[in-house]
Amino acid sequence: MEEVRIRNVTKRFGKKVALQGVSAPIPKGSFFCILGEPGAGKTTLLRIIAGLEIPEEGEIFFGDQDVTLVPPQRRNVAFVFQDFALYPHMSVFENIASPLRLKGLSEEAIRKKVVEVASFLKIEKLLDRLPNFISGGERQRVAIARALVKEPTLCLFDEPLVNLDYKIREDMRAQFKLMQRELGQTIVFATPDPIDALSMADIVLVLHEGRVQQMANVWEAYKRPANVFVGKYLGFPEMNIFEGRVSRSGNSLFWESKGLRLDIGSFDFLKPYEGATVLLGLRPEDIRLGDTEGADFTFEANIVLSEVVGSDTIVHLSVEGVALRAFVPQIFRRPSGERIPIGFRHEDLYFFSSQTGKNLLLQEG
Amino acid sequence: MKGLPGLYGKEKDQMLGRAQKKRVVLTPYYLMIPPQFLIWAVVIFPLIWAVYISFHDWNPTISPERTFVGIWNYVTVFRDERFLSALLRMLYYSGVGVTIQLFLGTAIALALVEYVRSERLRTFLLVLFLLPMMMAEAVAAQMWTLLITDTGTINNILVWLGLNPIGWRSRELALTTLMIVDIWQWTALPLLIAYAARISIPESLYESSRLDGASRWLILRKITLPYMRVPLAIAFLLRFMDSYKFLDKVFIMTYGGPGTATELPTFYLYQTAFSYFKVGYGAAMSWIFGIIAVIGMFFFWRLAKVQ
Repeated sequence: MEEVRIRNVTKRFGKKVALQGVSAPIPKGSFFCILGEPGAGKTTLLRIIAGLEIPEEGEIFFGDQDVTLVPPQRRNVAFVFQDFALYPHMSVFENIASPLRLKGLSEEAIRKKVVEVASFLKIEKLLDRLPNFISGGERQRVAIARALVKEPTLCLFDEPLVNLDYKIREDMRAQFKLMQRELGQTIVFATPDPIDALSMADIVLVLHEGRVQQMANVWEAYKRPANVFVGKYLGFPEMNIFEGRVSRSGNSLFWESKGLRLDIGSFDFLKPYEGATVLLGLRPEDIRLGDTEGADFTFEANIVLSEVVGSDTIVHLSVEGVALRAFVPQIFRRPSGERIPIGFRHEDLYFFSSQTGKNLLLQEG
Repeated sequence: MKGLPGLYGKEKDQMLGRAQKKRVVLTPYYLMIPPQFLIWAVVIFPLIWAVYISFHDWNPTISPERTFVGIWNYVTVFRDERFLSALLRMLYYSGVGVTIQLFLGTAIALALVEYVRSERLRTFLLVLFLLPMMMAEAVAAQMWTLLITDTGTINNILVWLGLNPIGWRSRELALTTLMIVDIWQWTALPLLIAYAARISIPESLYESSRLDGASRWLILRKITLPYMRVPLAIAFLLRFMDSYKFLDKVFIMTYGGPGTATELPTFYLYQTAFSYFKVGYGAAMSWIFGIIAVIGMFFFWRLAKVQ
């Protein structure tokens, strides 16, 4: 069943168009991620769902009910703000209890619920403290507790991990996912970080300049990006993109750029593009280094730089003067200038239109 | 011996807990002499001198001789009904006046933020409210003196509206009139502070409580006012300090009159020391007045929990 349906929503701020014709169904109990760069319209979309903004066009449905003009307090949604929005002069307990007090629950019932949700989030020891005297990660959890204690239809999170440091962020990702699975809570989560989407989301909606680029199951979007923007954005490190021409030689079709030449005869959908310029996408994590057994394409590459990121390595390579990056999920230190064989498979290649940026595989038919 | 990396000389010695050779550097002390001289000359010495004088009976217009009277001046202050009623007047004038300024200023500031959506109109209104504060005290006092005479503009307007003229400078009303003029001129200060405090409250707090269904009144009580507590306490203090030393308007508008109806402690003090030339007595009175201020501040600070 669909919990929430966003239908053709457009929002402008003065002359600036924040959202343009955005539509999306949000299934009940799903972890729904809105992914996009800063300024893409993520926060605006969340605020429209919450009722803090009213769209110029389009509707929001909760179940069968059109709530576009229903004020926020009657929507039973919880919103976790980027700055957490905790009341600094109230204790953690009072902060979590505040939505319940407004519902007029008895003191006993309030205490029971607050303690319950606090122990679920492992912050029961902090209840007497003031928000300014606890850590960022703890503050985050207090904000989540305040959202959950309402038992809302929908929990909205506005970039909640951005203000946290790296280690806590990693930890919180797992916690978010576990929490959502345990409670079956519908969560809408806005983030600029593709890792958040890949690690937590069931469904991802990619926004760019106020327009939906793709909405799909997160792995679907990763494996079959709708366009070059999604391909590049949903992934870390960014997808390698090369411009080249499709040409016929003998019986087969080739994709050629200045250092690379690939036999793409098996890609039937590229036949209509013979003679045209086409973008080729290749994910850094799909490139095999050293051991190229099983690869359909192999090249000799020069290592330009081994950039160790945590316990992973981004290897900057050069093939006949063409720069590309490969991702190795371990520490991989090699001297610059070393030659190394690289390889990748047919299914690792993505082709995008050089004019519209659309994924040519999906355009077929 | 292996040293600590990156540390040399003094820092290394400190890290290793080695004793430092004592070397007194005098330059900072030399640099402090001019301001210290000024402070001692114009603040600390006169204060001590005032203590000394307060134990004497001295009228410099009659003779340079000072007669030692011990604590007699202090005893007299507490028996001086004129001083005590001046204190009561100040309590009324400052207590009521400053409270009204604070309430009014806060209310206007909140109304500006909550109800005036246009940024331009808001700035315009803010500047309009600030104008009286930018006027010199003496000019404002002179202007109001002209407005509140028995046949002045304000009474003319009242008559034109079919109402009775009011004796603004009568024995009963004069002090309240001064208070009103002060409110007119100085509400802008708490307004400005309250405005700054209000716009520094993160909007997300308001939105969060709106989502939970809090009423406007609850939001005011639970978010806005607690957030503004310290700035408002400071605004109150600033205005109270100003009203404590309030003199200009009394001097120009009423000269303490009619009778002693607007005689506030500062004015009485001024009269005692510089019109009647009872300098020793004036000094004793000002010390007591000052000590009352310090005690008052202390309790206020505790009460407002300003940290």
